[in-house]
This record gives sequence, structure tokens and C-alpha cells, in this order.
Amino acid sequence: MTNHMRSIVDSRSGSIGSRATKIYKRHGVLVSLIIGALVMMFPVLWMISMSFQPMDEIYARTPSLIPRHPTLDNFFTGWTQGGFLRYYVNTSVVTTCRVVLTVIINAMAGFAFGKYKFRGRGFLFVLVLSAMMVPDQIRMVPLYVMFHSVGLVNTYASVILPGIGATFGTFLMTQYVRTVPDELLDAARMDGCSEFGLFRQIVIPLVTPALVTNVIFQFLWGWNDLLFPLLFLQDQSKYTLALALANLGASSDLSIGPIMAMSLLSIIPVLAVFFVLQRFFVQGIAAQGVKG
Amino acid sequence: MWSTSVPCRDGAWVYMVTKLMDRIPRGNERHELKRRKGSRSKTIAPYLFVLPNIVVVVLFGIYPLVDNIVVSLTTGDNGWSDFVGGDNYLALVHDSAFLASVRNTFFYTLMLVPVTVIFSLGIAIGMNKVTRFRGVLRAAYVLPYLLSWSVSGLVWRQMFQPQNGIINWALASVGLPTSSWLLDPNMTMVSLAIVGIWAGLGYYMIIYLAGLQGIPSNLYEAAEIDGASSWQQFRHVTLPGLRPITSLVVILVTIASFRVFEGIYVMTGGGPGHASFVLVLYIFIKAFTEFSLGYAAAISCVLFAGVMIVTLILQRLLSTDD
Amino acid sequence: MLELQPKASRGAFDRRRFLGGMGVLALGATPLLQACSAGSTGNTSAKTTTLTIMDQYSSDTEKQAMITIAKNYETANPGTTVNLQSLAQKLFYQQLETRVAAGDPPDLAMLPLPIIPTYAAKNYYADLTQYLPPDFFSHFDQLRTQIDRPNGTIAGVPMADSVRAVIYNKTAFVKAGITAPGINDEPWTWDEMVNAAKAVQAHGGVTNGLMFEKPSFDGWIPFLFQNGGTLVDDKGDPCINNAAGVGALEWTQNLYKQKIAAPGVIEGTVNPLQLFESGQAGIWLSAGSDMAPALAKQVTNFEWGATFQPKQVKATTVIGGGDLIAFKGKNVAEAAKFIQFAAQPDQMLIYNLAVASLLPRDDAKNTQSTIPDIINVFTTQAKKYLDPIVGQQILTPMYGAAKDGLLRELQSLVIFATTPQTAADNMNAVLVKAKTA
Repeated sequence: MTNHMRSIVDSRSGSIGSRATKIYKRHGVLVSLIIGALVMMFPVLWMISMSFQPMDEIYARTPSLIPRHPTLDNFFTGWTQGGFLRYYVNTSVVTTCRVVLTVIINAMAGFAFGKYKFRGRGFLFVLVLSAMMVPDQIRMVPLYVMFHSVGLVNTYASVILPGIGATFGTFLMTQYVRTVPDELLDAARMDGCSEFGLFRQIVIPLVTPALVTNVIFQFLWGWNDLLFPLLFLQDQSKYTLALALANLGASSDLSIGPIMAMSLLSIIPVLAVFFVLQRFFVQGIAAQGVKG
Repeated sequence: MWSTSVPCRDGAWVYMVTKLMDRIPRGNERHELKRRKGSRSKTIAPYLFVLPNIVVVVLFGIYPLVDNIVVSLTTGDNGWSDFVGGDNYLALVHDSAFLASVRNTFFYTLMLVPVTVIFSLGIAIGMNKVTRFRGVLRAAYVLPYLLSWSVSGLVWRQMFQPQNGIINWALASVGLPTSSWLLDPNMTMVSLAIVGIWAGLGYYMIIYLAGLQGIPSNLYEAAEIDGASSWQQFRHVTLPGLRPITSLVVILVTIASFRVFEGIYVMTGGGPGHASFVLVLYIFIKAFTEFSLGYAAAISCVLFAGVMIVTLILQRLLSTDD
Repeated sequence: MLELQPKASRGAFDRRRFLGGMGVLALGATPLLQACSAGSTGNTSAKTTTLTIMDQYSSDTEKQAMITIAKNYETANPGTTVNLQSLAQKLFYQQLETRVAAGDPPDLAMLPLPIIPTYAAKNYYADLTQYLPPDFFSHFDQLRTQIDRPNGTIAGVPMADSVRAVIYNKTAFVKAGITAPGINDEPWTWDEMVNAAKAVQAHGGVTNGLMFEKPSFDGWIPFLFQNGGTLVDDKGDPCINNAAGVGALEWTQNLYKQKIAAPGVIEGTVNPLQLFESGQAGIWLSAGSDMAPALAKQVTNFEWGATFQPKQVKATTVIGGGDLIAFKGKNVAEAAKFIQFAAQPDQMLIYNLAVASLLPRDDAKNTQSTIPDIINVFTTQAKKYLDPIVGQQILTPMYGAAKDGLLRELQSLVIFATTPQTAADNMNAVLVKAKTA
């Protein structure tokens, strides 16, 4: 709709040359994006290619993007070398728990920081901000001590709990919640809506794109998390995918072909989650049409 | 979608639509929240909402941080005993590896932040305009971010090989000069920054995309009716509307660059020499290769202080409302 | 019109019910989460003992060997469970160090030699003397077991001796018309080795004539000693920057200048095993014997062989190995039992076969190897061409603290960021600092 309007505006105010620019405007963006996408995807395409190449081809003097002698060996080798199904299950359980807890907590906190003025807000916000800057390495020993003392080492909980992202997601939600109009909340309050009702019925729907973003990325971070599984899991049967893959990559067990093949398999769930959820970016407020 | 989340009263809905019609862009306003006298639930509510988050932050973020500060004053071998006071910090000043890691981290951040912020914004805006292949395009840009470093690091490392790597092969086949990339001490951090930008673009694009959704389209329509060109619409509707999101992105990229580690660890391990030494990597090496936990803790505290200061400055510079 | 998140589909909670819900959640959480801890190490009934062992491996066969030994132990000692955790090297140290610093070390760990003195100096090991028979080390070499007996205690037992020699691409050699020294020949001199590398690069179909071992200073240190250099002098003061040391560094840098040495190996941007396996390098200097099983399994399109490290002023290599060490903890008696079990000849053989290492015991014979000729070269290298001074100098806390810094100076050297003299001086400074730390 807006494109159409713009083309009317353009053709009215411009000359013949603007017709050409009009066509470029319509497709130029798409073309540039496609070229950019190919550049971005190139290493991934390379990785996919390596998954199907036998070893001497991967290391050949003239590398080739299209496998000359494609093979499925890498997948078989990688899969049979150890219980990937088990790792998938573990990772799914752990990640789902993390995501659910995290997104709920972030949304609530974001609402508080974004829409309320309360005593200590600045201090608490800085607290969250500062926790975001703590590098994972320095959390390792204190968290181990903490979990060891309550006997939670080597459990799912020890991987889920420290992974509850209470920093980036909160920051994200706060910024998005700020874009919700105050008048809306005041109007609802005047109509007798409770604070929690405000949260659930007004704010949540309005920040859905942000929620979806948070879900996607918390899922991704949880899926790929290496640090806490490495630290706390001591039974191989409880390992997550990231840990198992890192183990493979850091040893001489498998050569690079099977490692690429297994990594390819492991990103499929994340990709699936992304594909399913990314539709919801478009569905913000129904009154809006296609953005210009 | 809107229709299923009915606000408490229809009146509020009508009220909102009326208000939206003559709204000016969010970013330039300060809004005072009206405080209702005697509304106890409203006073307690924010604390309740924020409580779970704060509990998690304190338990899993702040406590380790405090513990770390204490450990930085010890050798780190025996928990909180073995006190050495500020010795670790004094040693840092003369530590050429530490200074190298500070330099490299700064350099990396300076390369990453502007490029990432601008490019991801551009891509998001472009993405918003196209109507076809949306899902596939978005997936293509985000895919790099979805990969773990154990994988993409190895792939890039392979691509950067001076002799058989595909990048040099492609450059040479069209007659462009090649480089030793990771093995050229002047190019190591640049190569790593390229990879860092590649990995992050999709992530920040998503954040911008979500932010773009929050700008009401009637603002664009109003601007068009007023005869504004695309560029003017961008400057006067999009950019201001994106202000909170842009400040978010700048801060996130900055913090992420200061904390860069895993990719570099996989690709170069900090080498060759100290060419790709960054702060978190140095912490890692001190802790897990040389088993000097106290010293590692000291570096962490310095890193933390640095990031904190930079972030607070950025917050101040970029914040839209208080 | 899709409602999306779980939270949005909640019923109409009001604040009080919400709070109550959170409280119940918190109360219920801990026992619920503990229920997820199936098989955690804290779960011991009165009858069974659990032993936790951490093993670090660089190949699947190595990993399987430890698993087998652990299972054998469980069979021989019903009522005991062994929780064996195998991690690749890089990951291993993260978990180990965190657990040690947090006061929850594993009962036993399979540690490579260079690490052992560092932890010993921090007093982390258990003393097993009272649990072991007085003649426990009778079949072991006295010098070799020094490292397991810090300050008069007994902390562990050697499980494997690894040694570095040279692995080469036989097919490429044949193509270039050259041969490598056989098991009864003298090692190459430096010049002879470099000439072989040049020949195989020119005519053997490989990209680079030679490659160094991996991003580890241990792999380069033989060349320092081969040239007559040393880390420290008789008084114990660092002197790596004497003429011999600078000479060794200069020789190394020249190999890179002439493009005979494969880039990326010392710098850490290439996986050395994969580089060799793909047939791109002719000679793999300082290759460890533990690479042999992986090569035997994975290399199918060319033949490979082993020969001795080259010599200059002297002929030597560097030792390595792994020992099973007990940490201070609650299960010291059980740990001692396991060590006794694993140190038996038949159990040790399982491990040695897998790692293609040499046997620390003198009363066991490795007759089952699938690559006996290769192993023979390594054994001979250890017997005839290994200077004890190397082991004396690197099995010290000083070297453990200096290793990383030394490697980085070496890396700067091979990318031409420093001159040999500067690199040597910097290395010396690293050693000095490590010594006083």
C-alpha cells in the first residue's frame, strides 16, 4: 500500500528518470539483500559442503565449494561415534526450561523497569547491568561452590539455573516496554485494571516482537551453552550437544568432516525454532500495515 | 491478534486509538507517570515484578562478582585465605600481556561497534521493505549467529588459511592481493573483527526489526502526505522512533565486544604471540592454563570496571528518558 | 490472532494468587530439582562406594581404554561404582581447575606430566603411602616416579610414557626418491633433515616439506637442546638466550623464511593431525607416539612411517606421559586401591596399547600392537636418544608457569614479528619471571 502511494508521489513529482529509480527502488533493495545474504551465508555453505566432502577433498590444494565426490560417511561416522540422540534430548529439556523461566522473568522485570518509577529503580537497574558484564569465567568457581553445597552438581538444575538469563533479556525488554504508550496504561488503570492485568493484557501483546526476540535468542544461547554443562555435568549420559561437540572438536577422535556434519545436525532445532517464531515479528499491533 | 487481548474496558481501547492519532515520536518526550494516592498495589507491584530477576541476578551474577573481588586479593589457591592485598593489581601494570589484551580489546570494540550498528540497521530497514522471501532472507542473515563458535570458528579458520584457504584462493583468482590474515600480526585482529561482525549482524538486525515494528505506520503515512521523501522519513520518523533501540544495540555490541572470547579462542588461541590476546582470553589462560586464579580474578575486576564505566557513559549519552 | 507465550495463556491470576504461586514454586523447586539428580555423586548408600575419576584424552581409543579399566575395576570390586568422566584436553582443565579450587576435586585424575608439579606445589594431592605396599614402585624407573612422589609422599603412579619422534609421509618420500633413517641408523643431522624436507616438497607432492608438532612449547624444546641450548644453567638461572638458544631459534625462523615449514601449526590456526593426514606435509617433527593410533585408523590414502628426531650438537627428544594422581578428598583409601589395580601389568597394557605409548613398568611387554615397527622407533628414541636433562628442566613448576609465555614468543618469531635474538631475550625474561613467581 505504501509502495503504491510512494510511486504515485514519485511519478507525479519526477521526470522519466524517476521511473527507472522507481523500479530500482522496488527491486534494488531486494537484490542488495540477496547479495548480502549470500555473503553472510558463504561460510555456512562452506560448512555444509565440508559435511559432504571426504577428507582429502577438504584439504585439497584447490578447495571447492561443490563437493566433487559427495559422501554421507561423515554423518554416519559422527552419529555412530556416540549417542547423539541422548544429547538432543538432554539439550532440549535443559534449554526449554531455561527459556521459559528466562522469558517470564525478563518480561516482568522489563515491565517494572520500563514503566514504573520506584525507589531503588536506578540502583537495581545498574545491578542488572553490572551482572551483564561479569564474564563467565569468573562465575565458575563461586557457582560451583554454591551448587556443590546444596548437592546439585551433576543435575539438570545446575545447568538450567545459572543459565537463566537475567541480564540481556531484561535490558531488551526494558527498552521495548518503554515504547508502550503511557496513556494506554493510565486509561486501563482508570478503568480498574489491576497492575498484573496491565502487564498481561496490554503490555505483553504490545511487546510481542521483543518477546519473540528474547525467546529466540534465549533458546539459541541455551542450546549452544557450553560453560555450565562443562562445569557441572559429570556423567556423559547427561551431556548436552554443545558439550559433546566441543569434546569432539577438541580431540583427534573425528576429523573435520564428521564434526561439520554433526554440527549441521545440531543447528537444525535452533533454525526450526527461528523459522517458526520469526513470523511473529510482523504481527505487532494489528492497526499497523506494512511499514514504509 | 489485537482482538483477542481485550483490554479491561473497551473505553480504554477507544481512548488509545484517539491518542495514537496525534502522537509525536516517542523518543523526544518525557512522560510523568501519574501517581495515584493510596494505590498500594501500584506501589508494591514494581518490586514484585522485578523480584525474580533480582534474585537470579544477585545469586548467579553479583555473588560471583563479589567473590571474585575477594579472590583477586588472594593468590586464589585456597579460597579466601592466602591474602596478598593489591599485589595482583600492581603486577598488572607491568604485565605486557595484559596491556596487549587491553589494546586488542579496545581495537576490536572500535572496529566492531560502528560497523555492526550501522550495517544491522541498514539491513533491518531493507528487510522491512521487501515483501518476498522475508523468512528465508531473515534466516540467512541470522544463521551465522545461530552457529556455535566451536563450529564457525573452525570454518573461518579454515577459510583464512594462507595457502589452501578459500578466501585467498578467491582473491588470487580475480587478481586481488592476498593476506596471511590470522598469521599476519597486523591483520589478526582485523580478521577476527570481520568474523565478529559477520556473526553478530543477524542478531542486531532482529533487534532492530522488532524495534521497527514499534513505530506506528500512520506516522509514515502522515509524513508522506506532507511530501516527505524516503530519506526524510527515515531521518524524522524512523531514526527518532528507533532511539531507544539504537541505544540498546550500541550498548549490547559494546559489552559483547569487551567480552569477546570464544571465537578468538577457537580460531587463534590468542596468538600468534599476543596478536589476538583479549581480556577474557587472558583471564581464561591465567585461570586454566597457569592455574593462577587470584591473578585472573584481578584481571576480571579490571575488565568489569572498564565495561561498567564505558556502559554508564554510553547510557548517559544515549538515553532517551531517565 | 495467535497467542504465543505460555504466560499469555495463563488464567486470570490476580496479584495474591500470583505471589502464592511463586512461593509454592520456590518451595517445591529444590526437592524437585534434586530429583533430577539421578546418579549424582552425592548419592551413596551405606554399602557402595563411588570413585570419581577425570580423564583427559586426545583420541577415542585412549578414552575407551580408561573406560575399560574402570569397568574391570568395578567387576573386580563389586559394590564400588566408578564415575569416569572423559573430557578433551581443553575442556578438561576448565572443569578440573574449577573443582580443585572449589574444594571438590575428583578422587583421581589422569594428568599429563607437565601439569603434575604445578598442582603438587599447591599441595592438592593425597598421600597414599599408608595404603600402598612398600615395594609399590619396584618395577618402575626411579627417576620416572620422582614426579609421583612430591615431598616424600606418594601421590600416584605412571600410566604411560610418551615420547616424541618424527613421523613422515612414506609415499611422498618414495615419490621424491629419498628414504628416512631406519631403526638401526643414526638420526638425521639438521642439514640432512632439511634437505629431505626440501626434496619431498619439490618432488613428493606435498605443500610443505616439514611441519612442527602443535601449538605447544614442548614440541619445540627438543631443538633447543639438540643445538646444545638449555633452559637454565647449572646454577638454575635462565639462559635460553645464549648463543645455542639463539641459534636454534634462528634455524627455526629460517625454515619458515624458506617456506619449508607449514604455517599455522605453531601459531595454532591449523589442526596438525588433520594437516598431516591430508597429505600436505612431508615430515612431522616432534610428533608424539600418541598420534600413531589415530593415524593408523584414519590415514588410508598414503603410507607413513616413523624415524628419529634429528640431531645437531646432540640427539634428544622430550618426554611426556600421563600419570594417575590422587587428590585430597574423602575416598583416599579407595583411590589407592584403584591405583594399585590400574598399575598392574595387564591393566596398564590396555592403556598403553591404546595410546601407543611406552610401558613405564619393566616387567610388561607390549606384544599386541598393530603398528610394532612404528612403536619400536619411539621405544628406541626413548632408550638411545633422550637426554635426561630435558626432563629435569621441564618437569618443574617454573616451566609450567612459563610454558604459555615461551610458546607465544616462539609464535611471534615464526610470523617474523621478532628477530631470533629478541625472541630469545623475551623468552629468558619469561623464564625469569616464572622462576620468581
